[in-house]
Amino acid sequence: MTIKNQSDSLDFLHIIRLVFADLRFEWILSLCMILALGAVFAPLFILLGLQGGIIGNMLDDLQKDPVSRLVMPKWETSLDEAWLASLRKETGALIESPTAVLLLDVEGMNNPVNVLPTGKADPLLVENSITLENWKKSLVLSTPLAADLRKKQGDPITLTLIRSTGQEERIPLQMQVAGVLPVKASQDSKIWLDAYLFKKLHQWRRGGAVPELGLAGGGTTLSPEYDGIVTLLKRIPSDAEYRTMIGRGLGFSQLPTLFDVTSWGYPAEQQARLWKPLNSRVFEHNFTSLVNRHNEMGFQAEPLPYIDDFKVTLRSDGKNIALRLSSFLAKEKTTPPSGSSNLRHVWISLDDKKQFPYPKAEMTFSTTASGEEIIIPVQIHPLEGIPQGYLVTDPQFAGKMNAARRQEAMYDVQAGEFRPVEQKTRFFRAYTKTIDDLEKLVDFIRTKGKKQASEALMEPVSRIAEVRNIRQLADYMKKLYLLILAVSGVSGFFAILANVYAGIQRKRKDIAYLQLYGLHPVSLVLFPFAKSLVLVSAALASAFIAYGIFSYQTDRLFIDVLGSATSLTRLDREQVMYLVAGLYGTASLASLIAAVAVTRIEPGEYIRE
Amino acid sequence: MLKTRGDSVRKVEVTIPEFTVPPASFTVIVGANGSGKSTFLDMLGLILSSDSAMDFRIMGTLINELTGREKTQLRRRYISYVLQTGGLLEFLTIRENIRFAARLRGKSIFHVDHLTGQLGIADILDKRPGKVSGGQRQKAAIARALIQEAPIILADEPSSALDTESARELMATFKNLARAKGTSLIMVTHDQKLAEEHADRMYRFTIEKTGNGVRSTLRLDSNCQR
Repeated sequence: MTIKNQSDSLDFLHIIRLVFADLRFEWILSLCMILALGAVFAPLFILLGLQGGIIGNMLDDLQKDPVSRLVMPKWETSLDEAWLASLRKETGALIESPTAVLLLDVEGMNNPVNVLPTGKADPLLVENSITLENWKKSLVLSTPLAADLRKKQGDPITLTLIRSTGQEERIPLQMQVAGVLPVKASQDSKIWLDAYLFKKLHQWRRGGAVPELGLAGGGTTLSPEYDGIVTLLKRIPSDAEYRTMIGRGLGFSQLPTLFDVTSWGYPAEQQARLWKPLNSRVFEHNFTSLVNRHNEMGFQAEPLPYIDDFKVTLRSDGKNIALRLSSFLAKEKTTPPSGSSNLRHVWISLDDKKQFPYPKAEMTFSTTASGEEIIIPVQIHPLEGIPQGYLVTDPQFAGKMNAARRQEAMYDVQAGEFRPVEQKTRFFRAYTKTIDDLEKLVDFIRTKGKKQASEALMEPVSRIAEVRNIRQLADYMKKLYLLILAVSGVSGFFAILANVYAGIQRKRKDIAYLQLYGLHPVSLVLFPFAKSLVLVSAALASAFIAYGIFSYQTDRLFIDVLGSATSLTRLDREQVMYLVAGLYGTASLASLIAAVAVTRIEPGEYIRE
Repeated sequence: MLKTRGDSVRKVEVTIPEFTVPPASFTVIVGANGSGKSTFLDMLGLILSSDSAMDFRIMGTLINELTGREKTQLRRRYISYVLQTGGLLEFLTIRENIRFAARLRGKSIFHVDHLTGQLGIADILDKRPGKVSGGQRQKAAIARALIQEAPIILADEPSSALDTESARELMATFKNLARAKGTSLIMVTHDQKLAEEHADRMYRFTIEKTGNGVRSTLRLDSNCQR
């Protein structure tokens, strides 16, 4: 039996008309419900907005600051070209250099300034709209340095190139300020040069020529370098006197420390002080400056070159002995005897000579640059006064060994000299395109560090900790928010369920009449269900309005802190969609459960009262 | 048709041996209070089911074989109600109630004003049922039933809220309007005089006692046939 009626879809339209009529009829009740639900929904949007705004602003700040996207090795280390090629693919910008930093003298500054390499793709320049028009002439200053020098973009500036290759060379280099980086790029005095110029100046310092700048080579041998100077004095200056010496341009910035040389046979009345530079090396001309500054203050200082923890090995006939390099002994004690061979001469303690009785041997050490081993044939002499475990050689040769240890070099046995080889990339500054890529790049570099057993790469320098902290904060806030959402969801669920059920009870008679008119109970479930969803929709709209007002007011309140372009609140479109969908889903479920009560109303319930 | 109600202590057996309603006629059912008039009307409206029915048809459709959904659909298609309480939706105005009823049956809403004018309720159309008198409510309910142009109108004491004179006028109007639309009007009332004045045929419930209750039987009153 099929009884045909008007399409059931028209029942839907009838019900919707009834819904709006009922809402108008109970407008006060409806308004109260909208406001009550709005009061539940609004904090959810506000909290979501605050979460997005606070975290978003923090991440934006990181993203905007190129230094946040920077990863670099802890210090210089050997890097193979194949890995560098893959590193270039992983980064947004890569600045490669043979060394981390150069120290150059700047006209107007008492102390040398740290110089870093840069390039066209360097985000530090790109995001501050600075271009190096002429790689030979342009440089960039940090804000503190620009303030000290009173320089601005376009001003001329003179750098002094200093090199000691036998004799000291000082060559002025006229440059122009291409721009000044903001304080957040560096709070120290720094200069940025084009990476190619940087590499060339580094090469020049090692004795190479730079024809593009008209700079000649300084010989093809390494100049001696030391890690500090030990001064022997009968009378020690006070700290104030030392500070005066430092202020007069000593080349050191820290006070000297007490040093013990008694084991080397120096008389006890002679006191020793160790001068060590910060992040730098000592050259022969520094000895002269140090002695002169002491003389000016009325002190007699005898300078001794100091080399830090330099391990060498003597090997001969299958036997090895490990020793530490020093050059402390007086020069006359370490002069080779006349008629001796052309081999390099070294002196060891009497005890060590007993253990290693060979007159000749190979002295070896590894360079930190490439890990290569340098082998020097030597003649060994025992000498009283040398502490056991040490090896002494000519101070100048010891300085050249120290230089070779740090650089790419080889030993010319015929000439008896170290010769620099062109340094490959040993340092880099890598920038990711976004903060999100930082973790991946750090892991990439760490993996290389583990494979290569290079501590410099195993612990690269970056702001990953800061990014992780922010992400962790974001994670905590998200969990907290979800908890609040769950609590609100449960309370909202029952509020809506109770409201719908109460509405059905109020409308029992009307619902019974509607069944009498021929509307099916299943269609009638739609009546309270649709009414509830209309109220929820209006409540959502009121929540959005409340959020908008909150956002506007907080932005006005915090305009001094945030600025006019940044908002404290931020709603992500996708998150809002999920939230709204979740609220509708919860409301629909609550409404449907309650609305089923309609099916328990009999059409004949209110026929006669 | 047979319907038994009550409890084990006192049973009321409502028996309808025969009940026929010609098209476009006015049939009245009278009986004492508790005789089963309203119960029978509920069965005619497919709200209550009979305990047994040999041949119960509405518009030629055998009711016994219908499912609940089919009964609802049949009720919607063929039957309109005028309830004692009015049967109007409280949250709609009188006009909206009548229009809603028309739309539900797919009927035109253009005649609402004319129809309500004939019933004398044109001035209360924008009021809600709760704000009008009982008599006005019943006239509105009659208008709501008539606008649907259903083949059958079931009316349960539609003039109970009116005084005698008004009730007579209303009955005359109701009957004429229904006849004009070809509607069969089946009315339950306790007002026998009103019934005799206007009904085309009258059925009466008579009650007789049984061992554990009463039996109420519906019979055609042959004195009232037109």
